[in-house]
Amino acid sequence: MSTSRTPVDKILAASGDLHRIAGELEHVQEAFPRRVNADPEKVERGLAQLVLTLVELLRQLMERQALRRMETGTLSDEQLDRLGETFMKLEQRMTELKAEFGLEDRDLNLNLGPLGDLL
Amino acid sequence: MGGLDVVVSNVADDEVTQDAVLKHAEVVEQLLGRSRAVLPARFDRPLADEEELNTAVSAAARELERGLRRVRGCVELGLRVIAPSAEAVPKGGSGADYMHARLAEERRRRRLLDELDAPLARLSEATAPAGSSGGDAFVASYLVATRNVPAFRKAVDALEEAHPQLTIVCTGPWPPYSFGTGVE
Repeated sequence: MSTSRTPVDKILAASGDLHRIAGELEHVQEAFPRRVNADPEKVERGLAQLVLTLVELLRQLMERQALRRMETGTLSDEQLDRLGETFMKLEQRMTELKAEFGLEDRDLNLNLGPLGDLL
Repeated sequence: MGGLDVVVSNVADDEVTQDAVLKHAEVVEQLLGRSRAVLPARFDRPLADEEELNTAVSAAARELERGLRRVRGCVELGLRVIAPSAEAVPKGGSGADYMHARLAEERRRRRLLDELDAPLARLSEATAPAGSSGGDAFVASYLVATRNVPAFRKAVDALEEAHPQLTIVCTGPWPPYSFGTGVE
C-alpha cells in the first residue's frame, strides 16, 4: 500500500462550484492550537467575533422558536409582526457589525467537536 | 486482549500538529486495508503507560466489541453539500412579511435536506448526526457496507443530476471515524 496518498484519491464524486467547498476547508487549519496573539487590534477582533457568535446563536434560536410557533399557529398577527420587525432589525445590525469587524458568516460558528457545529 | 488488537504509538511530545494528525490518519487507513474492522480512536488520546491503556480498554471492552461489530465490512463515506445562498428576504416589507419569507425558506431547506439524505440513508447501515453547518450547507457521514459503495455512488450521481444548482462532494472510503464508540 502506498504511504502517501493524495487528497484527490478520496473524492468519490463531485459537482458544482468546488471553490466554495475549498473555501470552507481553509478553516480546517484553525482547528490546530494557535499561539496567543497579543496584537491589540486582533484581540479586539477576536472578542468581537466571540460576542457576535453568541448573539448570532441567540438570534437563530429565537428565530427558530418563532418559526415553530408560527407552524403551530400560536402567534397572533400582531405578535408575528412585532417579532418579524425585531428579527429584521437584528439581522440588519448584525450585517453592519460583521462588516465593521471584517467577519463573515462562517466566522460566527464554533466547532464543538463531537457535538458538531454550534450553528 | 480477547480478539481485540490495540494499536498505539509512543510519542515524546504531545503537540497536535498537522503532520501528526496526517500520520495518525495514514496508520488508521493502512489498518483498514489489513483488518476486517477498525475503530479509530480520537487523535491525541493521552495515556501515561501500558497499564493505563489496559485499564481503559478493559473498561470499554464490551462497547469496543459492539463498535467493531457495527463497522465490520463497512467504510465511511462523507457528503458535503453547499446550496446557493438563499434569496435575501425582500427589504421594506412588514415584520409579518419577513417571518413568512423566513418560514418558506426554512421549509424549503428542510425539504432539500430530506431529499438529499433519504436515498443515501437507505443504502447505509448508520448515519452520523447530520447537521447543517451554516444556513446553506449540509454535512453528513454514512456508514456503508463495502458492497453498497457503488450503489451509494450512483445515488450521489442521481442527486447531482436532480440538483444541478448544488455543489455536492462525496468523499471516501474513510475508516469509520464518525462511527467509533464513545471511548475517546
